[in-house]
Amino acid sequence: MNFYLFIDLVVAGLVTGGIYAVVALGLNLQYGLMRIMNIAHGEFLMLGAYLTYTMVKLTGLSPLWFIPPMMVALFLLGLLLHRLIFRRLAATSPTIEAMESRSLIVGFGLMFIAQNAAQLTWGGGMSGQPYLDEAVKFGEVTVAANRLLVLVVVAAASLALVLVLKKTLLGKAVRGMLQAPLGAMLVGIDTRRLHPACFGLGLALAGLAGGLLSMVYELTPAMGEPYTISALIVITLGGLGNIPGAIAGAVLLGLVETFGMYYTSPSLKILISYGVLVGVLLLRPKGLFAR
Amino acid sequence: MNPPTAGLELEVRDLRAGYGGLPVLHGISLIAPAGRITVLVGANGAGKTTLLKTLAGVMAPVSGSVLVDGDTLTADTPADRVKRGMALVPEGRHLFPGMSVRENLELGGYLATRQQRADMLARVIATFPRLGERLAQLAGTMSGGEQQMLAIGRALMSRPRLLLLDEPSLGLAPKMVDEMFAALRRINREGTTVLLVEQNVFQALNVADFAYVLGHGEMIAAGAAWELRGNELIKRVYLGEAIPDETAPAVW
Repeated sequence: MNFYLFIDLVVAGLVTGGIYAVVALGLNLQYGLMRIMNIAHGEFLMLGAYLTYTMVKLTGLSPLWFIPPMMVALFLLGLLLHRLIFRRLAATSPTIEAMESRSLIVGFGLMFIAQNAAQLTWGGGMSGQPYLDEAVKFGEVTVAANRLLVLVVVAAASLALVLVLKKTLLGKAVRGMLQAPLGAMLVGIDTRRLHPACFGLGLALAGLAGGLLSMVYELTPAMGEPYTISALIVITLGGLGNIPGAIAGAVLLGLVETFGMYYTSPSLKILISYGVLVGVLLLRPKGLFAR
Repeated sequence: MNPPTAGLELEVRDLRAGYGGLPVLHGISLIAPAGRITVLVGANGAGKTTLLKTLAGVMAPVSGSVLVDGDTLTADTPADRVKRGMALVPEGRHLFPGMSVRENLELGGYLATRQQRADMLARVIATFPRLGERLAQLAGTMSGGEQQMLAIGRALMSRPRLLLLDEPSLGLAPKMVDEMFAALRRINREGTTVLLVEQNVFQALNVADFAYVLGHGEMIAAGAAWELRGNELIKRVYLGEAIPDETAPAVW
């Protein structure tokens, strides 16, 4: 293989993987902490993308201005959804399995509502507003500037999240809730406050991914769905509740998909992702990094 | 190192609790006097773990009340109870297995200030030197005895004035059991009230001041620990002097 082509594919794989990481981290927290199987997770990516796109259309400013306030808005929407739906679901579910299956059904409902609301608002076709789509040259290697920007932002966001979880007391409390919920309650970690915050954080991260994608790709109301599926595959790869594992799994999936599509056909993308999933489930069902 | 302030008095009044409508505790009353060690013994399934979970606020009672130094705790969350000075070392420990010993201890002091956490860390290491040698080790990779020390150490990090322990000697080697009881005595001598649930009745009665015997959700005996050590019933059932049979009192 040509060296430049190889670099192109690696960059494309890392961009895809980085987006997967940001989307999967939020879903991993939601499912790991609260057993919320949020099948509508990708719809919040879609909402983030459309909100950013709309603001850029209205003002003509750079999308980077609108991503932070849009993330705050999605965080608040997450607090609201948690309070209206998932807190009640947790209180009325007799078992953890019931919570999982009920949240799955609620998630399907949210997905239909979000997709159809987007279709009503923005239409069913494609919309797009590319940003920074010029090429940047590193010697002989050319990379699209917006992809580079996406890569830098998702890497910074993932790193920031890992550092918060590893180094701060609040982050350790979140890991504590993941590893031993009863132990966490007994040391005085207030799950009633941290659970909604983590749910909201998941939405904000999905929104970040969407806002970044709006600089690169065309938007459609159904654009979020494949990301939900990729995020579920990434969580399986990385191990449930394992944050560094999810990031590694996301990058791996991004690279495998990109190289796989190059050597076969872009229409086989889903087949390649599911192939990875089936392989992991057969060989390492607890995740690639399970001890 | 400054000793914690005086121990709290715990009082339980006519407490009823259970799982999903299935009653486990049928009206339990007890007092754990401030600064003393009180032990609660009873057969498997008697409701000891249910009682401690209710006291810590992770299970809601059906009726009855829990009082700490005269204040009723009914509406308190588990975190509120930790703030009041209550800490539970649960059955099965519930440590954070993927985190280091140091991180487990830090989270034990989650509600304390940074300064208090640093002070308590030094204190806990002085009480359990083995933990000090293994601060970087993952909790899940330690032996059962070390994990139990860590579970107690984590509870101590919140500077409790009332320490509840659920079967801390379960699964420990005899030498570790002795060490654990010695540590409990030291903790209590500094003022902390201790309520201990134990199957290791002989050693528990030796360290305790007061004892209660729980049988199938009801209190069936109570008194000074030395009195119960001499109690024929306790001797027969718990100290292994005879296996209970048809001639044993019907209450068993």
